Amino acid sequence: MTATTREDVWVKTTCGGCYGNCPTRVHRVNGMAVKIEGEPDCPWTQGSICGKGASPLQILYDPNRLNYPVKRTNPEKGIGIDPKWQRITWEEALDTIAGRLREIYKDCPEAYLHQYTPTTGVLGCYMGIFARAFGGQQNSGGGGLFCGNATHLHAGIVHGAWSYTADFERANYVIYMGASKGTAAGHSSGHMMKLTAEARERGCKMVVFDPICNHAGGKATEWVPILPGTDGAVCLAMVNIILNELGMYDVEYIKKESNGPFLIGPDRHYVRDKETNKPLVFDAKEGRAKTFDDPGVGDYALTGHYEVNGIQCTPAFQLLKEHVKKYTPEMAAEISTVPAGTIRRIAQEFAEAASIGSTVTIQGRTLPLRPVAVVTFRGMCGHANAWNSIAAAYLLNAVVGANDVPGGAIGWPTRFYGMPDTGWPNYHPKIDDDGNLLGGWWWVWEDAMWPKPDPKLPPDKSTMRETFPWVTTSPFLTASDREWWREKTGLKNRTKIAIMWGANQLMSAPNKEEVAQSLRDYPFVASFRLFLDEFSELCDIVLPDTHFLEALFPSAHQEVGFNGPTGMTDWYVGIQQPVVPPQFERRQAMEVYMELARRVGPECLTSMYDKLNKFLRLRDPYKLELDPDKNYTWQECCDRGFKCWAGEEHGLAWFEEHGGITWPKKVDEAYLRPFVPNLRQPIYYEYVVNWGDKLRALIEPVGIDLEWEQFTPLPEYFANPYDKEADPSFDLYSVSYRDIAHTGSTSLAVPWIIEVSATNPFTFNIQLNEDTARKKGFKDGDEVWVENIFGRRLRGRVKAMQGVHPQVVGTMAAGGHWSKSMPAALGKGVCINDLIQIEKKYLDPVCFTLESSPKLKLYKVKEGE
Amino acid sequence: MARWGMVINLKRCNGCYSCVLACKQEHFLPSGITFNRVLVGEKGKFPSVSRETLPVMCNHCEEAVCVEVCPSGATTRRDDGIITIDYDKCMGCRYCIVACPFQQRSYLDKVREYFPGQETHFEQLAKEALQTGVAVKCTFCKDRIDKGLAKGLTPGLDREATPACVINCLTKARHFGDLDDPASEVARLIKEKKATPLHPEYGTEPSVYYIR
Repeated sequence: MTATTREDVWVKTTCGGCYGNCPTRVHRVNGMAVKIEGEPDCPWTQGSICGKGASPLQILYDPNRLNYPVKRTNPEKGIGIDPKWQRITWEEALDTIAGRLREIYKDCPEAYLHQYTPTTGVLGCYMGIFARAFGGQQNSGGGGLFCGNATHLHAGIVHGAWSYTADFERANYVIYMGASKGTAAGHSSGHMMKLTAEARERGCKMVVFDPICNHAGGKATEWVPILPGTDGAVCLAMVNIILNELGMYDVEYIKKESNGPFLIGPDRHYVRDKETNKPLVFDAKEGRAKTFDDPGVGDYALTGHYEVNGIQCTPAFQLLKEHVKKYTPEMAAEISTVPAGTIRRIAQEFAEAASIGSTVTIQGRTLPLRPVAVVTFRGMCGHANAWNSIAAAYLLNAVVGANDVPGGAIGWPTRFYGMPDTGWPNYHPKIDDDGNLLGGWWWVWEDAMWPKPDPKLPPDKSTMRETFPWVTTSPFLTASDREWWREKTGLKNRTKIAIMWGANQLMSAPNKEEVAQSLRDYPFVASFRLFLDEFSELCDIVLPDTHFLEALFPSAHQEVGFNGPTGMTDWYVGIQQPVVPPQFERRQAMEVYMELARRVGPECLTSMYDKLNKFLRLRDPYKLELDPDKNYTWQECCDRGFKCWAGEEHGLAWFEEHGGITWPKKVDEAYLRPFVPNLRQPIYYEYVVNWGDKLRALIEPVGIDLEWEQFTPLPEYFANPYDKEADPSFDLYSVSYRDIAHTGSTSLAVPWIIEVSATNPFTFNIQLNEDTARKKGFKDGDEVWVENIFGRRLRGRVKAMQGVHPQVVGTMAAGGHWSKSMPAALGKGVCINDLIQIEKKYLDPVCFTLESSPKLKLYKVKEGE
Repeated sequence: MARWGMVINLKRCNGCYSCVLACKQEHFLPSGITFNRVLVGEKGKFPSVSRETLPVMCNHCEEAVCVEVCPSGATTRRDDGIITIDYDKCMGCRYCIVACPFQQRSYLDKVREYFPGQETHFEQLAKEALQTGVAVKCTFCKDRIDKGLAKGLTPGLDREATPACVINCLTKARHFGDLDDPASEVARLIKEKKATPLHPEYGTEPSVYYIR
């Protein structure tokens, strides 16, 4: 810098550009932030950051940001209708919102709906603290409906974590089924980018099943084009090949680490010990049944038929082995378009690479080494067969014994011994009486991922998770048949106040007109926003939020099961702090929520303190006193958090200066399975039979029928519901993807990101296979209409390519902004989510994941249209 | 004297644009100007297709055409191999832009706004850092190298003395160092991984190598 430099500092903080929450440092010169780099002390990014993470200064300093609270003066709410904003004071804004909240606080706090963006990762979870304190309900406002619902469920049950990945430090053969680890935003994004790069260089084979060869497929050893939503059939065929053709499965693992030997009765349930009620296995050596955790079992029978307690029963493994026989590679080929020979070869390569029986010694402990994994996420999950498909993928990791062992399919850490000086906060996995995993790390809240509470009617909250406890993101708020669901379930409380933190729901959720109508139905909508964007058009009051570079959070990294470092990579816990003070009248939402709690009343405020204690894992002497006269600031809460976790000398001031603390991981923090005795991962999904039985008994009498066949303990393939009804002109399936330069819809507001995206010929265009385009008479640059079976359509320009399945229309997700407050985004990409329909027949009946590959038809835009 | 060069490992690179954006911030580049770019395309016929991502930048050629054609003596090759432009001497004739076989130079006629019609501090920084009416391109972050060397640091090893795109690469695909020092990482990678420059047939002897 020049002679006029008065200030030249690096401020250590954390990225909020995606869930990854990578530690960064920001160069500030004379009060202006001028550059973002990765934090050199962070063990997983090692001083680097991805393109998205390097770009947020252009949101921080965007001249189009919202700077003052505003209220609408035009009572008519709708897409594209000017709310005629009027600037108001914070006092008026808070008074209005708190007044509305007070009206429902005593009698019906459930009528308060908190929604939030999942884009910023753990930071968004802090925002839910007020809703919990108030007694309201909450839901992800973003694309969660077709993102992780089923994946999170399976990851919770198998890994005790929010998601899972491959142990790239040791993996040799990784299959992606609609995953993008290492080439997109998401959990531990930066960490995954670095690990996958190293794995590729080391020679790890990456086989990517994907309808489009873009980011993940583009870095693959082999790209396998597949029809969207059919991966489950391919997985089941591969399980069949491994179990019935090759016989290359991990017998020890299936006997001792899975529920494979559990005896199943004709009712599809476990046969249980009369005394202890524990599931029984058959000891082939002694010729009698014993409880699964009996240390005296000589040999777990995996095959055969037995009679125990007068019940005819069969080991779960035998049932699975028989069940998958019908999934021949030829059958899967017909469904998926992947040639049977390819399925056979990949199954064999996978089973061979698993090197069943091999071990590795880490920190003096000899552990199984299974350097293979099938990794799934949104691409496989975003379909109406999500639970079954993901279950099928999980079977592949299970049969070769690769779950949560070195080299294999590992969850984000679920054991954490805490920070070095204090051992706090710490999490340890446990098991229940059936050998199911109770994850060590999980939300501190009561609504843990596993076990799930029993369903009940009527629901109190319009998210209806009481009735459908396996729902992560609720479809019932914006579904086009939401009134039907509400009537049938007898929903008690309608939402009266909705407050949205971030999340441009009109673009990131399906069917924008339904979203708009659902918002119009709420008597009052407020939102914290960076821009007066598309969502704002439906709000009554909009509050100017701070950007994450203007915000304070005590760490995104102690929630290790969400995005802590995987494998043996060292721990890091660091601060997120303002790199410049908030400009204008922007205020950090956390402070505003605390102020709202204060204004609602003393009871709400003490409840807020209680929830803060819980979420921040504060213990004495750092706990907030439950005294409404204490006017704790958010800064003070953060200071207490840091001191409680890292020791008295490591308070907020220490973290502001030093950024974070790193320390080595212990091997049992990295690899769960070998260190939890009697842990049994499901290869027979008995729990889903229980769920189905309970739910059916509850909701069939009120007239709700679901596709009950999907509640199957042995996963099946279910076809895309759009196959049943579309007329033949709807001949292409929609596939949208997360571009490597983008996160949700906000990255489109960044001119730097727009500039690099424009150099990619595919990003903003409608991607079609060259053959398909030729048959339809389209050439590059042609403007086309893309229409769904409900008559909703959008227009975009064609880009023909080779790397896309001929029956697919490819688009980057979350484009197509129309708000003038984000000028860089105008005209970039299309809002493909608008063509997705939320209603019963397109929802997975188990966890209510939404079918995101509707059938579409394309035709040219006429002149003058 | 060292001869600075770069090795880019395309196996590691995932095309995340970190190099492009680290560079834009390091050099306060205005809208429309990029010293680093990532080219995206595809190879093969369905279903045997692969996506190609290729990060490109000034190759700092030993036999640099731009040096040869520059009529004002603004473009020169330093003793350490860095091709540099003296903005005070450049008269903006753009001969070098036409001549560069790798199309790595741009003409900066004026500082364009990122938010059209709304000037921000991004444009102010660009105006302070750059001159208009001149040819611009990747500098190999020569200021970082020169300042680092003055402090006794080693480019390629010490963060402060290493180009911004290298230190910020999340996949650790980029390596920097002295091509003439057989013990340097770049020399070792070129030898062991058989790294090659783009278009060796042009005979310009680039200092940027690729591992494929």
